[in-house]
Amino acid sequence: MFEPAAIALIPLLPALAGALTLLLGPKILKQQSHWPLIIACVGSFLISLLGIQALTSPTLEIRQIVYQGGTWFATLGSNPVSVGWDFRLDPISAMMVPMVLFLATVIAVFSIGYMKDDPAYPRYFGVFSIFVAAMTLLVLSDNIVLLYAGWEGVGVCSFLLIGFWFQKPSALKAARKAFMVTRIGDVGLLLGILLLWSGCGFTLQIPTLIEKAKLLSDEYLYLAGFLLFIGAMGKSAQFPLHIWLPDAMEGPTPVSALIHAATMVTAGVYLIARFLPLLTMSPDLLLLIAVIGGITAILAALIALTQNDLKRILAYSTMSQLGYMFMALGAGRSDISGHSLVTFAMVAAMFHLFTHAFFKALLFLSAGSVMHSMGHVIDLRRIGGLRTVLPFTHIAFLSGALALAGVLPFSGYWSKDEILVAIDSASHGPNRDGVYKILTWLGLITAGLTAFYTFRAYFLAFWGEVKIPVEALSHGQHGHENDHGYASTHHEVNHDPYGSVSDPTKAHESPWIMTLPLLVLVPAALGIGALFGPTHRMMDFLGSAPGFHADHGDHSASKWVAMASQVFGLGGIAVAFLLYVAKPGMAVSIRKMAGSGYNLSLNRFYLDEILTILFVRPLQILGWLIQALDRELWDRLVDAVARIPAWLGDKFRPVQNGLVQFYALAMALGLTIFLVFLAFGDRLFR
Amino acid sequence: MNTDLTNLAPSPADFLASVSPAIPEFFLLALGSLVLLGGTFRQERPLWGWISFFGLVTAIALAVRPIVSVPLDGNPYNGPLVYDGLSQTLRILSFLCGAGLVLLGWEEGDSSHVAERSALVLFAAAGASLCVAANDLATLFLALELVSIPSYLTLFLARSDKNGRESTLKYFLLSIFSSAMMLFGFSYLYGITGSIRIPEILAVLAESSLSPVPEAVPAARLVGLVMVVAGLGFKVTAVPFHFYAPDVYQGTSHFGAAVLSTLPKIAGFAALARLTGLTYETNGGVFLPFESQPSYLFWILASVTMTLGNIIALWQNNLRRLFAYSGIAHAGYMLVALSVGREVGATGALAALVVYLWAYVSMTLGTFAIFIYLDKKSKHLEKVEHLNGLAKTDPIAGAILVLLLLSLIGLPLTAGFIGKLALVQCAIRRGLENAITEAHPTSELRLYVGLAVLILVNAAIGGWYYLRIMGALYFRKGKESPASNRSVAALLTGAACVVVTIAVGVLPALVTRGIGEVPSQIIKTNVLVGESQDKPVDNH
Repeated sequence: MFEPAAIALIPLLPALAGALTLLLGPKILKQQSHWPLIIACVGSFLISLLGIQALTSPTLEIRQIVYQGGTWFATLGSNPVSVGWDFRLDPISAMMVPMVLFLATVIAVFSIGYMKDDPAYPRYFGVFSIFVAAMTLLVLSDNIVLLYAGWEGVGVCSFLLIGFWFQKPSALKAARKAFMVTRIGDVGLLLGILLLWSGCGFTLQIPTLIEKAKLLSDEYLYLAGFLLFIGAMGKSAQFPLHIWLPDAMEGPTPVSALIHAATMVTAGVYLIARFLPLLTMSPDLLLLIAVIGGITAILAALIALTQNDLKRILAYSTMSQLGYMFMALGAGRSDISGHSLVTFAMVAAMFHLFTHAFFKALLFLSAGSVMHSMGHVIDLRRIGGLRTVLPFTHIAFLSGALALAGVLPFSGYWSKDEILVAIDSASHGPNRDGVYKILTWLGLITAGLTAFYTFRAYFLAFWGEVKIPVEALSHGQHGHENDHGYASTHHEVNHDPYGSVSDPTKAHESPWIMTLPLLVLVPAALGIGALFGPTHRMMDFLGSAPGFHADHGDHSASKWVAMASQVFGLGGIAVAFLLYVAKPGMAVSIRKMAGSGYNLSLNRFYLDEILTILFVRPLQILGWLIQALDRELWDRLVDAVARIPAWLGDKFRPVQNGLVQFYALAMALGLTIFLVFLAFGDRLFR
Repeated sequence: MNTDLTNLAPSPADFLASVSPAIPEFFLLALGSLVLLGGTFRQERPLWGWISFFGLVTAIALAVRPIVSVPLDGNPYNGPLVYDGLSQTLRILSFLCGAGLVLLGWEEGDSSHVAERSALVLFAAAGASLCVAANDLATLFLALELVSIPSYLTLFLARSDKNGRESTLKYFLLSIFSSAMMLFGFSYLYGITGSIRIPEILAVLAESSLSPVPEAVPAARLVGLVMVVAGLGFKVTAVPFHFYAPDVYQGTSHFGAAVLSTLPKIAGFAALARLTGLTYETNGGVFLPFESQPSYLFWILASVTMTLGNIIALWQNNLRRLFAYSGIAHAGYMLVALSVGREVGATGALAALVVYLWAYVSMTLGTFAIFIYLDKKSKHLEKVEHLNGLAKTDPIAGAILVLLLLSLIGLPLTAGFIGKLALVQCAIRRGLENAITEAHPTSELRLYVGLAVLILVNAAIGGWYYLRIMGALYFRKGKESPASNRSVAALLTGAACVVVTIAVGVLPALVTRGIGEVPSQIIKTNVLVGESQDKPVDNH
């Protein structure tokens, strides 16, 4: 029998581990600081598995286990608010939590090797633990305040980890950017929550909220849903709030794998999926979600085509895949026969979220392994032919790439397929079919682009002539202390920035503590899609979530997109092979032909610059003005005013001359003045 | 109605009944005499210190839970002493303050006068306590002298060098001068009204104001009022009767300054509150015959006192001198309550005055306690720079001092904040209410809102020199002096003052309980008294 209270342990264990590591880490645990995190993650993972077992037991009528762990805080007044430690395990959270914990465990083990010798080793694992706690809290919470607490918690941890190497100015800047941009989204989320709260009879429980919100007026619902979506856009890096994610790669690579690829960035998808039964009430909103998702998907894919930084390519691909998920969520409307696609859309999005987490984590960890071996160099122009140098990493990256490209029968194929089918089904709806039709094609094109840029990166890094940067050799064998960017930039000044050598004997594969997690993830990344997708396990499980219903409807009309996506995907891979392995010269000539298009993509469509001009510059000018006004005018004015009392005081000091007869005289004089005042003072005051 | 009250001389039973609540004070006076007597045989610090301290604790217990309770027959305001909410809270403050002073005097000076020092504190505390309950002019004067005379002796015992003698003499002369002025004023009041009982005086003055009287009578009343205010203004260091304070504080010891800055001010403000009628009326104003003039008198006193105190304090470097000016400034704030005058009740002027008085006494006493502790420790503490680096060298004393300074500045959660808030509220309410009812609305509004603004400006100026001290504690480097002698008693007193400061700051209702509960028929009965004395009455 599963005790509901155990759900609360899932976030609690990592939280305790985090507190323990942060408190004891620097003095006692030191290089053993990873143990609390790993133990907590494994413990929570096992609890979550028990939870799933309980959840799927046939005796359970509604597929949810709720635990109310007492009041967190309560207010009095006309609309009393009581926020409790309410947790809820239902199929949606039961899918997310083990995934998060499994990946956290694997990535934590990988980090042991990657972060070895870092002076802030305990801080890394402490914040990592807090992140896991916040993420599981976000997913498991049953009321929106707790959800928001987890939401902000992961934001703070993300900030701390992006800026982990705060000695590096670019890391600091990236951390600030991520924080500020996601804050915009958070404000939207908070406003949305408050709107729902006040509109739905001041309840905080998510299921009750969704139930009651269905009675709200269309405009109200649209506004609240839109604000929630703004929150999701910020967290999940959707256009135009996406600009923080590529910069977030300044953090340690394992962190990028966990937070900025597999888990945190999917929080927005999770949020929208949770509230999808509510949002389907507003078809306009669904369309908006789908369109934003589509724009993000194709835009990110186009940018990824030309990037030279391996991690940035992966970051843009993450954005693109998240766009897919939002497209799927946006497809949750009714088709022409009045059949609601909401469950199908939700399952498609969550399924892709699930498979994506595994293969993207694998790709990032592989990239981390490459970085580790290559002296923190990840520029595709400076590395190459690594498949013999890093054999394990090569296998891992190839597996991830195959899954991401959506090659049959690997994970990405099944989940991406579902998304495309969902969108195509939505295009047979009562209205606005055209938009969904376009989105279907956008999705297909994106699939082709995805396959192309993934394999472009793969071929550039692992095929061709062996190129190993000097950094890998100068301190490859000893001293990882220079392994972390802020130190290695120093070396780049001394050497030719594109300098590389081709003596593979000195470069080395990462230690087993890093390759082992990679190899564990390989089967997960490749097979998990086939395990859950075609067998309808995912649909059966997620479809039983309260508010949804398993949908085994006939989508055969949309089966053509599966074929088409295969064609696009394989085509993309073939082109990449042609350009970067078979005929390397062609890539250069195509680049010349594409000209401005290439530059647009390379410069990320100048979106950062546009947003800078639109928002950052005016604010900076305003800030400068205010500062100038403050310093030049107010400060001086205040200083001048502040001098008056002292000046006055100085003038009065001589009166205090220490002579008792003078004091007596002064008292008598004062008395006289008061008497005169009382006699004639009326006229003074009136 | 109530014709039996026309008899001015109360029956012996009535007299006993009205005096019986003063048992704690009588107990203290007796105990003080015993300590004085015993001191001639033995001079032991712990012995007399403990006896006095527990005597005061007993007095507090007796005040809170009287052992003898004679049921009052008739008007509670007929006796020489009145025990209403005001006297209850302020007498506890006096006793607590006395207990703190006993602890501070414990190791002060040479051991030959420890019994005297303790006994004098007992006398002064009893005097202050009687003063807050005094209901007629004679009792009031006696009680005030019971505070003054022990203070002269305390000053005399505190320091025997040239400066000490000079300051003692200065205080003595000017105090006598002020007492003379006050007595002069008392005689005018008695002459006009024919009564020494304060409620009756007020009632008669109120009645006479409504009648067409010869010009001479208002003039005489004016003289009486101003004289009394001048005499009491000396006790509370109101400008221009404040001159003695900086010199005397600087010339005496920390202990002497602590005594002078606490007990006389409690007594003085309580007497002012009684004499201006703040305690007797729920409505109707202060000194009705003069209409708003007394209010304006206190308006001027308050604004000049707080401003002058604060701006001169900016220049001070000697700690006691600085705190003399700081005390003047705080007296200025409290005078605002007397100027506002009219509102009595939980948020009214009297409550504000009481809260501020508690705040002021606890902050000042605590600060001097820390000074005494540090003086004892390093053998020398005179100037601000002697506090440099205290937060490092003595974190506990530093923390206590910082909390007290925060309260002196008036930051929230401290008594200093609540007190200022209440005063500002009172001033604004007075301005707004009279703007509606009075004949000259705008001037009233301008005056009192202006006064509220002045309080805030002054609080800001005050923040400056308190922050300077705090800066010395934290940002300056001090030299660690070998701790020769630590006075745990002084440190504990400082800590207790912090506790009181924060308790009052968080729960001001603790000290304002019962203040608004004044029998409403008192003015009416006293009007009848006035009638029986054939004063001209104009029935309106």
